[in-house]
Amino acid sequence: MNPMPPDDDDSRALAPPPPVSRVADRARAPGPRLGPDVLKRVQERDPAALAEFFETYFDRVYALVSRLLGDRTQAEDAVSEVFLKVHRAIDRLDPARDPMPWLVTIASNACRDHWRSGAERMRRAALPVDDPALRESLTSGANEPERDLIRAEREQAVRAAIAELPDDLRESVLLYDYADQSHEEIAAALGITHDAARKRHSRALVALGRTLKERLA
Amino acid sequence: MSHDIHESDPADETRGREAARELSAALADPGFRARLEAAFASGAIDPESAAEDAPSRARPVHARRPGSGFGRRLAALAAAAALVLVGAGAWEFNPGPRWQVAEGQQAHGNVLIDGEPVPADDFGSVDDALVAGSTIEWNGDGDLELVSRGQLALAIVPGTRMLLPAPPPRWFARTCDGRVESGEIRLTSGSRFHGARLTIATPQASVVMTGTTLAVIQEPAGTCVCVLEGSVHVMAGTHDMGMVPGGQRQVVFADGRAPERAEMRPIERVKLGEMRTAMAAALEKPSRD
Repeated sequence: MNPMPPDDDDSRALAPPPPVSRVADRARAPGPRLGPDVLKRVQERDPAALAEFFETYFDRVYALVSRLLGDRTQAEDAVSEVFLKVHRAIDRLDPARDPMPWLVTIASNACRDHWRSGAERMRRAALPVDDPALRESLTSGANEPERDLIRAEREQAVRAAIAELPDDLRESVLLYDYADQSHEEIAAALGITHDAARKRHSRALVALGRTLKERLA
Repeated sequence: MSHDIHESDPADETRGREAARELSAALADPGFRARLEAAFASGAIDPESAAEDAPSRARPVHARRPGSGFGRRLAALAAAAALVLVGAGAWEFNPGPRWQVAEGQQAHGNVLIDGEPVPADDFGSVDDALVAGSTIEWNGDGDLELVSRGQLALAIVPGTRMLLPAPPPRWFARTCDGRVESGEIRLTSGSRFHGARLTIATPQASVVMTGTTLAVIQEPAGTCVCVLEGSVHVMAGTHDMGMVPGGQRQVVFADGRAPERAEMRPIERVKLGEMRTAMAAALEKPSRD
């Protein structure tokens, strides 16, 4: 795992995106977020605040990157790069805004770097394994192994269908439906228009729905 | 998979949306999470930045207390220097020792590395060609034996096609993945493998080792995992086969038959025992670099 200094391609990501009007594309439950006071201390690289920042946002960033890349090892590499870039650009953080869209932008760019890299073939070749969330879901039922099995198979089918989507469609559906980003935030993160983000998301859902109709029929 | 939306059915879109929202949250390995958090909070994640900015960061961010002087400045510089040293060391030296041909190996023939033939007895050329993720096809004489010093020894049996895993990193993100398409490999871990995790995928199974001696045999009928000592975790798709203990083998069939757990065959026990003994010395030999 090599630390990757921010390059020109990431300059867009490293400047926090402009505030969005938060027009509700849909009702979303916001995840936990830090207040301006803590973010100000994060900006000053206060170790306690940095730890709090990490605790607040790491899980969401990891979950997104993991689903985008579909491989645990690559996800760990990419998430390490994300937090390295965040650390380098933290003084440009705006304490008045939710940093999540900024993190999503950096995470998306990191995943694109991985898609372009030679390591991609490993992801294509290797099965995703050892997903603690899936393992937990298998044991969370009250001794209902049949139901757990059906659910696990369905989850596996959904993950496989998402993994087979073209990169841009997979990115779209995961950013919106998994990472709870609005079309406006996705447009800002990907450097496309709001309308293009909305259409791309619609295409992704149709493609995903068709694949699942064939497989889960 | 078709992505033509000209004849899109709204039901497809609804189905896709519902499916995407059902996805469970992917959870990180707790060890990885803790290590990254420590590096992020301390600044060790970014040694370059620490080197360039540490003195200036120490200046205006916090109000200076009366009485702080040369001692505090010296302490700040010392802390920054320590951070730089720790961080730089962590990033520069985190990659594990690279794969090399084991000293004394007797294999002959050409090994195909990413489709390029390399003489197996030309250790230097093979060393140079071995890169994580390389496709290795070995059809020569004898086992092709590779080592990542102190961490892992890998014997590739003739007739094997595989993707070479990265050597486990030394401190952070100590996980790596490889794949066996066909044939057989044997693995044994060295003293410095402790705390790392290697996943070997096959067309039927995934095998996770955390320190042990084992063989992964991939045949058209399925995958057989033979464990000499320790234990390994085997998954068949999403089905958890659990831990396979030393002395046992786990077979996952390609035709969907129920997996089998049984005593390891004597021949594999002998081969793995020999490999472990032979590789114990090779694992600890100094690198040719």
